[in-house]
Amino acid sequence: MISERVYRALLVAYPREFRGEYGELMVQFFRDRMRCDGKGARGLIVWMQLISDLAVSAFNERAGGYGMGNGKPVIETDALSKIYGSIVAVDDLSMSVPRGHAFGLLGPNGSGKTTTMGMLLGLVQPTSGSFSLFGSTDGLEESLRRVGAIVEYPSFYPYLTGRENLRYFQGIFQRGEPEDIECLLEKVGLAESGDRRFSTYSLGMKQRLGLAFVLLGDPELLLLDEPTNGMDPAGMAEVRHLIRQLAEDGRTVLVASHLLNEVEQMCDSVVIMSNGNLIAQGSVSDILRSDENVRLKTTDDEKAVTILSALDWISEVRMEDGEVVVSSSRDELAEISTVLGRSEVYVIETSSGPGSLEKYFLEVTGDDA
Amino acid sequence: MYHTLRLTKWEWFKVRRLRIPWILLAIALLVSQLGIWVNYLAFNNDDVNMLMGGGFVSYSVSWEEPTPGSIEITCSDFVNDRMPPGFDQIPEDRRAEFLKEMDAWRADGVCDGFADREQLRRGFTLPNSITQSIAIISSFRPIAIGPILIMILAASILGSEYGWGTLRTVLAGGIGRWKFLFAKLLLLIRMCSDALIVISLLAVVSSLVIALISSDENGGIADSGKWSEVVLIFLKTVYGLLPFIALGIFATVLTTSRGIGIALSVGYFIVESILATLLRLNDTLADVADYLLIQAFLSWTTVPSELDSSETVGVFVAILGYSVILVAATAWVFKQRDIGGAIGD
Repeated sequence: MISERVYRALLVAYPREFRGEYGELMVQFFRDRMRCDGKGARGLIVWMQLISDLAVSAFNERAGGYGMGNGKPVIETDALSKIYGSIVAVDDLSMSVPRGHAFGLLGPNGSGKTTTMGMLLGLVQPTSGSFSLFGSTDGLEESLRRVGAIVEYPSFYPYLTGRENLRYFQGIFQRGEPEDIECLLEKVGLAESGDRRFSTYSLGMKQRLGLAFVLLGDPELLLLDEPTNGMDPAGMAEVRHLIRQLAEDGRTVLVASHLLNEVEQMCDSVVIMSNGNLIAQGSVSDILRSDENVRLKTTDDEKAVTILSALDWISEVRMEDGEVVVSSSRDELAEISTVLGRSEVYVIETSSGPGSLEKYFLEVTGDDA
Repeated sequence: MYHTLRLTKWEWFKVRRLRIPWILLAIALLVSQLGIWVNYLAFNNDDVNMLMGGGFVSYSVSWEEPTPGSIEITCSDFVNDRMPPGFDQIPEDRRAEFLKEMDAWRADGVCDGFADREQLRRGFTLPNSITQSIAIISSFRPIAIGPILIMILAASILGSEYGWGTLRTVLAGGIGRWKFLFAKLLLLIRMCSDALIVISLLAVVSSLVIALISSDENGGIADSGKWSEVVLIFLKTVYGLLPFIALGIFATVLTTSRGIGIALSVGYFIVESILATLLRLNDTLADVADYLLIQAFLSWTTVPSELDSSETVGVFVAILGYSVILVAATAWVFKQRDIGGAIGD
């Protein structure tokens, strides 16, 4: 698997931030030729083509093409709304999904995640607002050719086998080559059961086939709705790993889920929705950082709460399980200790806890969750 | 157009693995070949002919003088203006009486339903057997089985996409709604044509088998009719079935359900039959009845044609109009609708 290693090395050496449009094309080109069995002479030819493309790409970028297609969000919605009679499914949603990120769409059941995905895929007509895919607001059919999506749950033809289903969709979408199907089935762990009818699959197997389906033709953008639904823990871990890998390879992945822990592990950024509204948006690391806390045991906890509550750079102080819980990062502990010391309150014991997306989610969605 | 044709090809890849098209084809083949073989059996057996046509099988005449005797005349002799064997033995005085009696039977039409041998032979000899087998499928009265089968097929093929939720999977991949719908239409037209070709080929096989087993010297390959008539009925049937394909698809898109789509499109048959009967009660409106969908189709595909040239043009335009209106309505509804998940129908 020489080519595989070369490919990985290239992606590291040529990270997505520095790729222009030609760079993306070149990487795409390489991926198309890699498949999962690229090796030997074939790998060498590909490698030569790659070097040639790389030179062209570098030239073009320096000649002014730098940044073409870069930086633009892959998905951008502007005041997107969907109303069913008296029910507002999605209300004035404006969000943007950057290229090459794993992006989580979080929300309780009925929050509008699936409707949003449906609108992005042209399945649901927006009541108002607009959206763009790959920077284009029209030509949705063309844009969707670069998207792999599963909405709500994997729907395939029950009387066809897993392999036949992939073959059919590959045929109508014109994505990749027939030999890719074997690679994909192997990748999602269905190589053994590819000849079984879809109707005989368990829910977990259906999800796996769904993943193989969205990877057909190696699309640039993947929209996955609850991709680990029905999977066993090992399967869920595999899917999380796969999604991370896809994002690291430069693809954009939008994952709708209500499994917060899962999203926390998979995604770089999230949008939190509730009752069709966007409640919060940001990078997972920022959210977790904002939710960090320091727990203190002091010589006078009540006085400590009073003192710290008066500080404008601390957002929240409370008593919890006999400890003072301060919404703050561990970096600020020394300063907190100093402030308390000035008032003759001394810190006896400290511990800090990481932020949790779940806690943040419950806070921002309130009773809706 | 290329994309749509490619899509049609892949639709076939998928649909051919379904059971329903093969079941419907089997029904169509059975009905079409039934016509050929019943004609053959009736040709060789007056009882079968009688069963098909009604009326009497035979009538016996007996006499005592100069010597006792009797003869039997059958519908076969009667229709073919053939004197029964032994006619010469009838005494002169009884003979006139017998001929007079035959005229009375003719006036009563006792053998009107009985087909003559030549007509029966045309039913199982090439190329007319092909024409007959296609005609029996498309416009066999009182039930036009061809339109019913094609509507069931159309509703099944499209309705199952709603039922399984696969419509969403397909459209989310960038297959435009127009293209998807048009590919389904093309697929159904192709399946309809293929079915007629299979029916025709089987009719050829049936005629050849009859030729081999027939004791008649002219057998099953005797020249009956014209090959151009085969081509004509083939094209007319495919064209005539277009509005029924469109009706099946329209009913399914409207209801997003296979079951209700089938019920609605087949139910139209009953409604139109009642409406046509009511319209024919009125002299002025009787002409309108002739241009209702099923009535127009039946007159369009009847062999031999009962239409004059102006009526032919009128029916042609009516069928075209129904097709265009139904396809346009389907496309409009399909375009407007949100596509939901599986409904399990």
